[in-house]
Amino acid sequence: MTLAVGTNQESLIDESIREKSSQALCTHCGQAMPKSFQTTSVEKFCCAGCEAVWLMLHECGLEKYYAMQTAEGSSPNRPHRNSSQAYLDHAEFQSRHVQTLDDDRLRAELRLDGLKCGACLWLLEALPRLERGLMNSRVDLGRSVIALEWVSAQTSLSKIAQRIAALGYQVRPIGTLASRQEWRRQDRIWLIDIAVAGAISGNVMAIAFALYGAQFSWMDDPTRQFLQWTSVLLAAIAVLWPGRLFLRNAMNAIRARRPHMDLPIALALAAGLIGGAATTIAGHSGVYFESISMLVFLLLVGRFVQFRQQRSARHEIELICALVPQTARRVSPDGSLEEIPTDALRLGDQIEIPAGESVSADGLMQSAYAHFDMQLLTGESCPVRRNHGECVFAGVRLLGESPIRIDVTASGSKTRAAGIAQMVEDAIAKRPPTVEFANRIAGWFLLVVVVMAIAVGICWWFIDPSRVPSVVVAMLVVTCPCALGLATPLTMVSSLGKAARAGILIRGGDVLERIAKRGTIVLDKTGTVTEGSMRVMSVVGDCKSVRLAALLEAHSAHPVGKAIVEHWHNHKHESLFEECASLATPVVCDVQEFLGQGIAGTIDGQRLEVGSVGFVTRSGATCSAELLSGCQSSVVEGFSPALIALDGVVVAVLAIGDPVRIDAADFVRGLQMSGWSVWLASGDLSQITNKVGSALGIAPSQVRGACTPEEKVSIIHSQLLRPVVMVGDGVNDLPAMAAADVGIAVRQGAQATIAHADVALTGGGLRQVMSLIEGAQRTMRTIHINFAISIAYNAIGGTLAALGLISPFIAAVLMPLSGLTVTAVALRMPRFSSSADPLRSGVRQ
Amino acid sequence: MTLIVIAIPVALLIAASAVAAFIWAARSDQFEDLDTPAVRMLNEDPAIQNLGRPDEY
Repeated sequence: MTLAVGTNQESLIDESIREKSSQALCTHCGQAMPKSFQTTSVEKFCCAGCEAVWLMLHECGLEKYYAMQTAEGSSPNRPHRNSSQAYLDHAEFQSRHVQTLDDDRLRAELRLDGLKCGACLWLLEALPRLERGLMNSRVDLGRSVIALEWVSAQTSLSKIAQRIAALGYQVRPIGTLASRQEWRRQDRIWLIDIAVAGAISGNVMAIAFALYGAQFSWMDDPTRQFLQWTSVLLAAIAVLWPGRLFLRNAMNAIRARRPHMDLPIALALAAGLIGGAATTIAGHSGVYFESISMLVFLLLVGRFVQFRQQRSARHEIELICALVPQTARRVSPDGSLEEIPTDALRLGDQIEIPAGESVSADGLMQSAYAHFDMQLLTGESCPVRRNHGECVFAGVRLLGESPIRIDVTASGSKTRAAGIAQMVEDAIAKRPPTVEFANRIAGWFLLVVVVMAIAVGICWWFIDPSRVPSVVVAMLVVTCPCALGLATPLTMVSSLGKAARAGILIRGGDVLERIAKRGTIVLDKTGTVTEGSMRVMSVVGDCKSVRLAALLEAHSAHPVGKAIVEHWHNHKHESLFEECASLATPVVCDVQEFLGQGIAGTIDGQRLEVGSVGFVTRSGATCSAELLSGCQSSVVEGFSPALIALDGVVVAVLAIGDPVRIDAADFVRGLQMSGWSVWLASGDLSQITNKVGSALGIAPSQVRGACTPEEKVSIIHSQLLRPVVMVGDGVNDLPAMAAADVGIAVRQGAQATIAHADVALTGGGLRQVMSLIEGAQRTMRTIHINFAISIAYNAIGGTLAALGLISPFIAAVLMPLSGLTVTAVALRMPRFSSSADPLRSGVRQ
Repeated sequence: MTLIVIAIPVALLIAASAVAAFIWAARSDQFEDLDTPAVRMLNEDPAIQNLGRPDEY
């Protein structure tokens, strides 16, 4: 900790606080107290905000919150200060997000960040006690949404939001009122359809059992007819009401002359219903109504799950938009600043962007120059300079210390960030509907069975009319697609569970099906095959100067500066630096940062400069030949050199770069050996990308540098070898991940990335991708085995039944047997086992 | 025969009323949020009870 004494760098202070954490903790937030803080009272607060919240809660009798937090094992959030929420009261915002209830009560739903446990829920729902005029507050923990109802005469949404911020939670706008109501309506329709289909299939099944029983004991004709007519009626309701979805899709498919998976399903439903009704009218027994209504029910449940997944994906798209600030500071004609929602921005408005914050609209630079972190949009890891009159995009972060002004050229849905969100949405919509293996087969299977049953019935009509009913029923019972329907879901569910235990989170079973085939895999560079952060790769020259450079760079927030500080921290205990440990920490002064170039300062009277070659040599610093060649070799290796100069003499050259992950090369080789085509696409400079590509053994023709998110999508689309798998970590990879057959998010990236990925890897290792692919292949093999078993069973049983060799009763006994076999196979097969086990240790580190 | 002609419609009516009850529940947003009520019921105390009645303060 010698470093912390002489410098004022914030992170170092944080560290020193943490070391003393055993001494004093803030009564409110439970964090360590700053060292300078002196108090004699029992209650200690780390800041005025915490104290205010503590007093507020005690005045309103809500101090129970602390006891509840402790019981839940968490601690209160620190209050968010100086967050102006004025935009929430803007007319533009209110018209989109606020609902007017009767007698001037208003209602709004907002996204809530910082929710942790039941105590948070309790506190937030007790908000009406703290805020006069707030009538009701309801929290939805699952979706992190808070619904507020207030009287507009007594309070305003911004006041309530400020109160929530003071408690340490943050609200953000979510989808507009109209879209949320539409979602709710669709949800209700699904639930009702499923309930109706479920109730009908249960009842029809009960009646069907009675009719099966009639085959081997006596039942009078009127009773049988009555039962059959009841089944016809119920099945007709099931097909026409909840089943209308399939009929409608099939009609559309016929009209568009395009095959659709719902076509065979609708045909089977119609054939079963009409055929059944016809035999019933003719006075014969023909009972397959329970299969029809059960099929409607099960398929609806499957579709509903899929619908919910898609909807939550759409919900998360709004999070990308949320990466762009929702508010902007507009410069009024009189020069004052006004906070308004970005939706209210007009073309030509001038806005100010505070230092360190994200730009809220696309626009033209009005300030002389500034540096931006463009990672969100392009994936570029280095800061980019923009001069007066040049374009900046919403969502990029302003680096440096001074605010800038821009003239708005596009805002809201017209910005480039919104364009990316739109691309993601389009890609999801365009993705062909996943026709799972089981679904593809199920519709045709049912159709074949119904047609064959009718054919067999007709044959037996000529052989022995009295035996027609029992033969047809036996055949239908024995070929009941239960085993077929059971095989896939069971195997998938057990696979997904095993994968999750290995740290691989998979969105749905269809992902496994798509990735099981060999195809093309496109890897993002930054953060996926590389570590994703700058590191000091090598040092040439005087190693001890790194210590001085680290002291200086502690004043900089630049990635290179951070890399140097980190390098020093990691190496200061080495013998090389032993003598430094005893040295007094020198005082750094006159620090001057030249953004994008370097940093300069004075240490112990010596002039120290750290930065790019151009920066350090601009004032004629001398550089020995050895260091110069070190410089050149680091460029050749794809790294950027950083020079350290003391009093005009270059003493050391650091090679700064983003190192390739240790397991990356093995991973690529493994994939190529098993027949995958591997591509590398990066938003980073072509030179660096090519270097990484060749280090990984990827052919230069399959490496693309300086890719925009749009170009990544076109790389995905241009692949002929399917499936195309995209592995990435950033928001800039999102459109490509959505366009690919399978999108895999490596490590804990941006929340929006995780939310959209088909697969999220929590361990960060590329080996998990390998494990995923192998596991998917094993899973599909199991499913195919199960299909073979149940189809063989159905073929043999069906044939025996068609020949009149088994009675309906024996068929009903045999039916569960195939189900049991399939279940046993599904649960016995190991998946994600051998290759996943070593990874588990990797997950934990 | 006579018995079943009465019993089955009665059974179906009972089933229909159950479905109707479910539809009512779905329409009145009972399935909106399935996570929070489980936590909320543990917070049974005056602060929650008084919600929506600010006149008392």
